[in-house]
Amino acid sequence: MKTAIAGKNKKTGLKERAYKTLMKESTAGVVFCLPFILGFLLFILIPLLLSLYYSLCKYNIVGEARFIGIQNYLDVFKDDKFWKALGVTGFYAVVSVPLRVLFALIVALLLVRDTKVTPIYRAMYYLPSLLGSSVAVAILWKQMFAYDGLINAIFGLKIAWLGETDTAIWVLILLSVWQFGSSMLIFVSNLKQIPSSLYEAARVDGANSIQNFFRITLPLLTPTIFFNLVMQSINGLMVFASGQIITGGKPLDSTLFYALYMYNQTFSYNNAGYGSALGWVLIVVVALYTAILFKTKKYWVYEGGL
Amino acid sequence: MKKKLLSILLACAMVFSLAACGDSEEPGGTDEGQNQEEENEETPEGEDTGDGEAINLTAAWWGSQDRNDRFSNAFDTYTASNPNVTFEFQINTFSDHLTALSASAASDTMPDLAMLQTDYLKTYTDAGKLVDLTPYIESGALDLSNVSESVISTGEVDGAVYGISAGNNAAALIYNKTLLEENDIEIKNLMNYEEFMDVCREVYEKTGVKTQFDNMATWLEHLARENGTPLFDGNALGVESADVFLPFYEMVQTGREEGWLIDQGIQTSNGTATEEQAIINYSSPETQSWCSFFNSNQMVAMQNSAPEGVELDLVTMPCSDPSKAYYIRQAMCWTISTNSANIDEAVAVLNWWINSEEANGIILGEPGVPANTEIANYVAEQLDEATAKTFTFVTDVVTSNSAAGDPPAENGASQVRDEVANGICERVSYGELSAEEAAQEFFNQANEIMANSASE
Repeated sequence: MKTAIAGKNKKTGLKERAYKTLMKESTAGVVFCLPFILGFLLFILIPLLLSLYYSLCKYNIVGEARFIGIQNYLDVFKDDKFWKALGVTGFYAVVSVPLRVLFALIVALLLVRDTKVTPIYRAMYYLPSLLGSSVAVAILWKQMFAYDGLINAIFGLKIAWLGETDTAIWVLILLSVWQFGSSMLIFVSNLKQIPSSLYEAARVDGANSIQNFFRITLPLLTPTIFFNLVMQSINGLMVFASGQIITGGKPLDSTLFYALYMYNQTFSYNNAGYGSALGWVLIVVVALYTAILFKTKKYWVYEGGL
Repeated sequence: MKKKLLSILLACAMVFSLAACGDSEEPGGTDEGQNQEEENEETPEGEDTGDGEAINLTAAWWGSQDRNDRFSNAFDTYTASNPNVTFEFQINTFSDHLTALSASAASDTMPDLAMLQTDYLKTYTDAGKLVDLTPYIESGALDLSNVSESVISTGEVDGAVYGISAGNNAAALIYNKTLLEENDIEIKNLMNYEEFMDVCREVYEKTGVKTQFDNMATWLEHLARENGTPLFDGNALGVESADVFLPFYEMVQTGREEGWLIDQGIQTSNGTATEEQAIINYSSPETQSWCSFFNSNQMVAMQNSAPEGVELDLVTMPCSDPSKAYYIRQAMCWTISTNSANIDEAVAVLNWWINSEEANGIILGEPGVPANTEIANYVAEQLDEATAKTFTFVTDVVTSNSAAGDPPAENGASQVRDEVANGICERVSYGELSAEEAAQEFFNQANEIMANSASE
């Protein structure tokens, strides 16, 4: 008797509880998060862990992976091409990122005033950021800088831009600088947040526009500049498509980006274990680079608030 | 309340649709494929599967648009006479094809029929991904009675046949016939390096047109074979000394010093596609090359994209002893995957591909001279001018001046051919390495890569 009642209670209780759980705020939250969580697990975390395992293996993708310990990592540091690729990528990031941020800042300053046409200009300058990393633009770039291409035709030059070690990397840097749009938008929105009262006060004190810029605008923008530098540097170190499509790492490996070398090792030469090890070394390099940037923060970034 | 429930359900739907994205719909997942394979072994005669039972086969290859059209038409013809067999195609450029293929091999979803280059065979057979075709050849399901033993042997790994030639080729010197004739410059088959360099000099003096080297690994391979050894022997180079490779690098260096070598900057910025080669893609003598070194069948694609009025022709690549250096190339071969659910039907298709006039009347020697000699004769009568030249070259010139090809190389060979051979020649052309340094560098790097890639 007693147990029967308890059983009945339990049954309805279960139903109720299931309904309650389903209706709870947190359940809805979890379900809404699931697409991202699943995507993160399937496409990022699991591959990440797998690649950590493969980096300790000899693995040619087609066959079975064979565990060889840290041999791949030892090989990485003995590999001349690794150092070459690291050097090329470092140079690319160190040169192109500050240039891009500078460019973004200059254009943002020009476009910050609200007139009827500035939104159009902003959209136009943002366009290269949308298109810039696409295959089509890379091919366009390759055509423009070809020996018989547009640039040589316009300026009457005879330079094999993509065939000389001195010039090829600059063509890729130029493509990167051209994609300043997303940094520019961030600058524009931050410029608008600078209270006009500061400028008014400065004007009362007799400051000219150059003083305005260096004493008010620039210090208040430093957090944004820092943010842009960090984000763009991380992207810069992982650059792949432009090197793959425009130069293929040539000439003489002068544009052999790190990610491109990793891709070649993994897929062209079927050394996926070695490629994974290269990937993990890159993660460490990016982390170090970012850490160094953060260390410099206290010397030049203004965080005092407005 | 109801709204909330609905939104949760919708979110669930999103999750499941996301999960469904990951599900591949390709035929022959792991388990299914293996079961089918066992069934197939019980009935090695493939013919009976032909009635009614719907079969879908996937075929993968790389190549030009021209090839894609011909191949897919040929497969469609097979469907027309065997309505239960339908095809899906996976078509890519050469490097993407290999990337896709290795990824599909890792997940046991390889296409039933795939074209491969012999350099890559070993990687796949080591992992047990390709069907040993020997039993089918013995049972007659795959009829190779009109295919010569030497052609079959190039698709052999450890005594078993895994690949059947999609077409026979030979390395060639493709040249601008119009240019040479206009300037009374003579060229012939079976030239040696000296005779070839004299042509380069004459062309440069009379017209200003330069010479571009390509196919670097083949030059080196020819030198190794003249030396009596294959380029690759097990997990090392076949040759004992770097000096074997010296003549080629000396020739490149001479070209650079005398000015008839095309500027490496121009060559690099041109790109590597057939249509981008300086023999057909130029704006002035200094960006033009009178010759190009590719496989014989690629001359057709080059001729098709050549400027108006330029006729191309081909002779053998310069070497001192063609009868040792030269061989008929099984540039590409068809393979069948072990995870195919319909191996018997795939074999039947392959048999049809090799032996039927119907199929080859459509393909018309695009990937080279058909392996089946009778079919080759049948096709030869229907060719356009450029393809006919390549056929004559392979059957008349090379066949009587060549030795047997070497067995498929070990892992690492593709990296040596692709990265090392080209990279080092580039450095000679830029003047960064002397000929001696280049030969030594190639010898060291290639041996190191081969040793590291040993599969054990």
